Amino acid sequence: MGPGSRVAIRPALYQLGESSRTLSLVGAILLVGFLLTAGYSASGVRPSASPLARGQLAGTNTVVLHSNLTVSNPGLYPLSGLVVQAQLRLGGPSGALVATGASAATSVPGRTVAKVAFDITVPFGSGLPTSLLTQDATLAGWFWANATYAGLFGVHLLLPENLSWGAPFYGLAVHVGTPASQPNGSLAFPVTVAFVNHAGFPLDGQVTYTLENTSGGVCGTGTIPVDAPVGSEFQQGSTTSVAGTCDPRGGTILVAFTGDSWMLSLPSEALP
Amino acid sequence: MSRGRGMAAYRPPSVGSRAGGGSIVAVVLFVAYVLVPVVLFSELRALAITPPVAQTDLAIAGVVLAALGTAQYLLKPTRAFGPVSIVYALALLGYLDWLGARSPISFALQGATVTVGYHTLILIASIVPLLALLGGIAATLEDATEPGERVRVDFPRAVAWR
Repeated sequence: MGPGSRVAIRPALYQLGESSRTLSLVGAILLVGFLLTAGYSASGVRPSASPLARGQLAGTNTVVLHSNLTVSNPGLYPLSGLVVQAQLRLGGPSGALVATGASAATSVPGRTVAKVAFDITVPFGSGLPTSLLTQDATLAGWFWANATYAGLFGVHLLLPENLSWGAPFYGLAVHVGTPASQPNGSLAFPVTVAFVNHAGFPLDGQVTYTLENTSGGVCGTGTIPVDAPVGSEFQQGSTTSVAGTCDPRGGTILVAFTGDSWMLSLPSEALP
Repeated sequence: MSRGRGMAAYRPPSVGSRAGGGSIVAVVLFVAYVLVPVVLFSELRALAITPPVAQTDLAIAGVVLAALGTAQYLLKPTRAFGPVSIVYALALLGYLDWLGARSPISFALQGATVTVGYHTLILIASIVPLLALLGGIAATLEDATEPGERVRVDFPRAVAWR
């Protein structure tokens, strides 16, 4: 074996070293290329949260608001595992928790625009101030988005945003008028319900009310059909006959808004 | 292969060619390790994003890495190549670990707070210095067990066919 053939021989150790260095160099070049393209692509990603859009009544004492986060991803790499979460608080970031919501995990491929829808549930039956049903408010909103960009970068976005809450029964006034004596000895109580729908969803159902005397006994009930589109003023009355043996004056009128599959308890009012 | 025959066949490149090549390598590494990161971090600052490390520290680390990379190139015809490669790879690993320890970074963007974690990227990027480390160890072992064997293959034109 001459010197020339010795040069051609590449022992295992040499091959290992040379291959490792070559792979290392190739890996570095690929990595730099990936970093540059990922950085450039990521700079084009734009999230934009839409304000609380339409909502609806759901179940018992629950309002569900629909919102969404539009994500524009014009770059090369996907945004995967995207989950949006939301919290609404009353009276500032440290105020009472009013509502929560979350989206399902979704992916936004490169060169696409996706709308991530999520619902925010407002559970009025869980100790929330019912004043939100009758008074507008500014809620401190916190929106989180967690995702993985290009499979390697964990991205967490926190967007604080004050949101205007429109009360569905803004300025609710339940007026019980002077009762009129009926020939059969009963009393006819005129009841009027008035409010303005400031919510982002129409109210279609009926107001049911219960007249209770001072000891909590039910004297009479009544219903008023409601069809109040968004932003409309509503005022309608009804008359309820109460037996003369049960006088609700000085008692309480309980009010609820009901529909096919939901019920919303409204603030009760003292009767004069 | 005997050690004596291997060493006899080896003739290192001239000092001039090594210096010329080393200068090019030094410039390339300076750009890669110092200039590009410093410029990128400046761009981040321009976007009101606080980089994970101070610019001065980044530049110093870059200069050290560029110097080690250049030394690795210059020492390739010698037995110091393997050990220097190991030191270079370990320094690169430390550099990545230094950057990775500062993940995630947070910054404000259009009223939102954005947090970006790059720990996974650092882990994957560590493959590069780990491979270089393996190469350095292999070169060191080869130079220790078969002196001259590596350089004869690395610099075939330097071999005197006599």
